[in-house]
Amino acid sequence: MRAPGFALAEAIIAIALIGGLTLLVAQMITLSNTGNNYGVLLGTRNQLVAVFRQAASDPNAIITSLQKKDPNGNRYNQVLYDCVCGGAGSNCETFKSDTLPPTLVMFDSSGSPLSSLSGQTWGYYDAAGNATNFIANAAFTLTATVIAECAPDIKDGIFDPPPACHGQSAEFIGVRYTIARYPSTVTDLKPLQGTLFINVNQIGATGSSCL
Amino acid sequence: MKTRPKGFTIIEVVVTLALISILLTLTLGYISNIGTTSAVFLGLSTRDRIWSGFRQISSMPAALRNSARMAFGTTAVNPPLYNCVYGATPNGCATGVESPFVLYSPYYPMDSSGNLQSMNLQIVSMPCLVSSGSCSPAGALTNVWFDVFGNACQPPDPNCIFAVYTSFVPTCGPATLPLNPPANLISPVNYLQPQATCTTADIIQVNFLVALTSTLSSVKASLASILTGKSGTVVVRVKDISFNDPY
Repeated sequence: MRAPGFALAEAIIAIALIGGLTLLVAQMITLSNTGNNYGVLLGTRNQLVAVFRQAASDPNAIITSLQKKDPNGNRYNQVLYDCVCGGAGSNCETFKSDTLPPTLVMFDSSGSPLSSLSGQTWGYYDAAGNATNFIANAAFTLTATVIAECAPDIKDGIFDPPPACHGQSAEFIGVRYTIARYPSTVTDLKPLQGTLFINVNQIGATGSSCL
Repeated sequence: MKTRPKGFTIIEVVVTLALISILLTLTLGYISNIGTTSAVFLGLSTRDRIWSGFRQISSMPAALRNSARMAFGTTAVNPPLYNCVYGATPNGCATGVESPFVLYSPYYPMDSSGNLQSMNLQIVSMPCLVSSGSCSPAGALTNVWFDVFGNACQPPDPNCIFAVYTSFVPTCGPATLPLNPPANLISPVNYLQPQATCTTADIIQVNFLVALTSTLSSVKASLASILTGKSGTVVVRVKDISFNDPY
């Protein structure tokens, strides 16, 4: 006669089944959490892209960016100023593809910095997309550069962009941005790069804008 | 005394297997849905970003100037655009006739000596009659594809799911008023409506389409049914492109 309860083999099979199911559920939860974290990071990155592109297309933000000066009175974005404002003493040059483009410190229209600058805690964002000065909390960093192309001289009949247009505005500027995970050792998302071109005449900078 | 038989009954085994199968099916379905939902959100966001980028670049006179002027040897890449923008052929531009064209970047690469490098001018779209709704990837232009993150990519990478197509529709200017216009125009509409043909157009309308490539449906058919292409239109004054007046 068999004693009440499970046989040893039945108990082992039952434990193995329960163990297998537990592992499956744990794996599912892990996958779900990984997917959620990845989704949150993607969402944040998309949000940062949208905010930056909106600012870089906003004439008020561009004018704010070209007006901003550091505490020593030097412009953060001299190339942007020269190529948008033109005027006496300006030195705008068409970007040469074998040189490095200058850094652009993009500010929004209210004057808050959006992109990074060496020596400053600007352009760092946490996982939720909030700007953070506490770099240990940063999950993303946003950097930008600016290029310009001078307008063809209508009188020459060739329509090639000239290498420089000293004293005049460029025809358009190009803003290239990179949003990368921070620190750079984190490799779950590759850096995202994009470029925006803006016609200078659409910025509408006037004498009072170019202070 | 009656003894309990050893092992499971057939009913117990069947019920257990059925329960495990249901659990596995639910789990796999859940995981599959997470992937599809994420891909749809990511794809929609990327598509709209590419769309807004093309809306901007298509409206830039410098991009259209480069596109009109680009040539291999003496053969223009986009002859109809060249005609309508630069007035190369007398009355060679027809109002309302759509032509496919290759859009180039507005940035004209220049080396440190100031030499322009037309061969490095970047193509950003493929030619297609956008209004026809039947644009399909052109094999030769493989450098204008974008992956699900919006980065440029090249087939056969299965992540290359977006391609952008462009066409343009010119509009000629209205007939010029006589040297001594009458005090009261009997048919003012004649001086408002565009002429049927002209040498240089007044405006051009650029049609662009951010399309999902056939790669997507082969990789994930369910995604292809949700994530669809998106088209847009911008209008640019020809004088801003070539400095030519319409005539």
